[in-house]
Amino acid sequence: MNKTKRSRFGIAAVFLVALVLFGVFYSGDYVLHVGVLVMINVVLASSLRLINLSGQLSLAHGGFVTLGAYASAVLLTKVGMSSTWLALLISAVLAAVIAVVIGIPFTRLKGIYFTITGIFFVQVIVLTVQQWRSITGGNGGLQGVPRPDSILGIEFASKTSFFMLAIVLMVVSLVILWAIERSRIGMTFLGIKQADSLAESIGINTTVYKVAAFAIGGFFAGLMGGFYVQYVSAVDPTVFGFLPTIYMLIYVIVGGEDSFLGPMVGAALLTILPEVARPLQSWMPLLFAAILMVIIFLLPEGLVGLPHRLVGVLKKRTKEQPDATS
Amino acid sequence: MLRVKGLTKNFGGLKAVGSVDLSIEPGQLVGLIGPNGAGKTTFFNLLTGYLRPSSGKVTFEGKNVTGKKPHYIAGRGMVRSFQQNAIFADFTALENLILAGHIHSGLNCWQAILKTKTCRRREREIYEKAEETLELVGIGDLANAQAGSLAHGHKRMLGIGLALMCEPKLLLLDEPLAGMNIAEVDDTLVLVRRLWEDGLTILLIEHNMRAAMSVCERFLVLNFGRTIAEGTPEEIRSNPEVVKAYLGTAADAA
Repeated sequence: MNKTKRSRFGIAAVFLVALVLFGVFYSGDYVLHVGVLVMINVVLASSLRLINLSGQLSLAHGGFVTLGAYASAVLLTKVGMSSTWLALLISAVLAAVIAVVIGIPFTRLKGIYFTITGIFFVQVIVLTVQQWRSITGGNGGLQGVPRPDSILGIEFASKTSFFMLAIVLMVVSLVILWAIERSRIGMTFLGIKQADSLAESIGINTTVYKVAAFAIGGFFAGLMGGFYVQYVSAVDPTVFGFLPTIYMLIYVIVGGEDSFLGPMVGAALLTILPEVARPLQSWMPLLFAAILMVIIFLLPEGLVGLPHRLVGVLKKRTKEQPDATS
Repeated sequence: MLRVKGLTKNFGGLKAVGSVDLSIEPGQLVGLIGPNGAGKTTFFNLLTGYLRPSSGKVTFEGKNVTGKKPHYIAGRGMVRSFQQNAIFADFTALENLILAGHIHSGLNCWQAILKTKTCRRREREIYEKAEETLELVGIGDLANAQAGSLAHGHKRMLGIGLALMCEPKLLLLDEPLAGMNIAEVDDTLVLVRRLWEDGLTILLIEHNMRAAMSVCERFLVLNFGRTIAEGTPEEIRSNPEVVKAYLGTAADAA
């Protein structure tokens, strides 16, 4: 067990080094831009999965991202906050606080009812930023959000610098999410998912854990919202509205909900796909739905289960072949 | 230890439990019996916070726990088992008990996430205790089996193990013998007896009269949500009300 753990850590380290080297030596703006979007979506999908771990299928995620994005945008363009880093932190913390506030009533609902409240939350956030024109700029959104302040002598102007910043944010987020998941807190989430009234009977305050999962997920969603707006320097109400929220869930399911790697794989592939298949842009929602259906029916454990499946098929083949020839 | 006064639960017009009184002293092994639908499980749900009483009061170790949340009551030491196979099906048997042990580990979330030295030490202790508990309930050899794939009787024993990991002062067992074969019934009765002899206070719901009579020292008999008798096994056996509840009246029989 220790050996697989170490080899997994090794693979992650190699992958990370490769990613950094790629950022250092490759200078095509477009590819680096897609890379940043991939990393944002990886964190969004992974943080959404953490909420799902506690047995709650959340569709509120886009609401937290929007909240985080607007928090940073408003603080930096309207309020006149001088530190972009402080604004980024506030984006994340505000999303987490709102997650706690709405989580306390919402997590009392189970199953599909909880999910529906998430859709409602996303719509409320979208409508709020659309209507509250004096602060949020209405449908036009907010432009001219300043880029992150330079830190340790690094200026954030080039795509490369943002690519590096995205790597740092992604790695920190993933390490925290992973540490939570492998601790007893993650185990408790899984226990609640399997049998929540049994979990109560052995002394687990299920409400606290459910709200905590929701808030941790909200924190990273808000963080990514803040980072996104400081990266593209503009935001409008629907960038992280209902459809993008559904996409986040699709990343998780297509990649494989049961593994930590799953949402990362799903987010990466499905963020790159629309870029590669540009001419099909208007067909994308349909294509995503088709992919989702195929995965659910043929590969319910997600794309991360594919290697295992292939190995199984190959083994079967090689075993059967001698029989066939004899 | 446990004082129940006038505990009542109405479901609409139906009185599922009607002003039941009960008091349990430390070290007792009390049986709660009655025919199907007598309100035994409802009574358990009221005690452990799964249902909010319509009226009445539950005091545990001098603290009023009426209408408190299940996790709070479990944390105070009044721990229940369930009639259905309530286990964490995707975990192994050992993981089930480890999860139950963590709650009382006294670790805060930072220690758990950062895996501090204290945390690792406590986790080792919990691991060892979980192994001991598995041995105690007789499924030590199934530690790494997935809980959902265990046989019915083993699932039931695992359920009792879960409750034991919570360091109960008062253990509430809801029909632990239901669906067990004869050998498993005997093993379970031996276990209950042993836990009691080791100093645990137990309230046992049982449908199987003969089995309950063989272990409990005192009984409360419910029928249609009301107490119809209370006393020692001998008193219960000869109580005409109880006989009537279980066997029906002469007219019914004819």
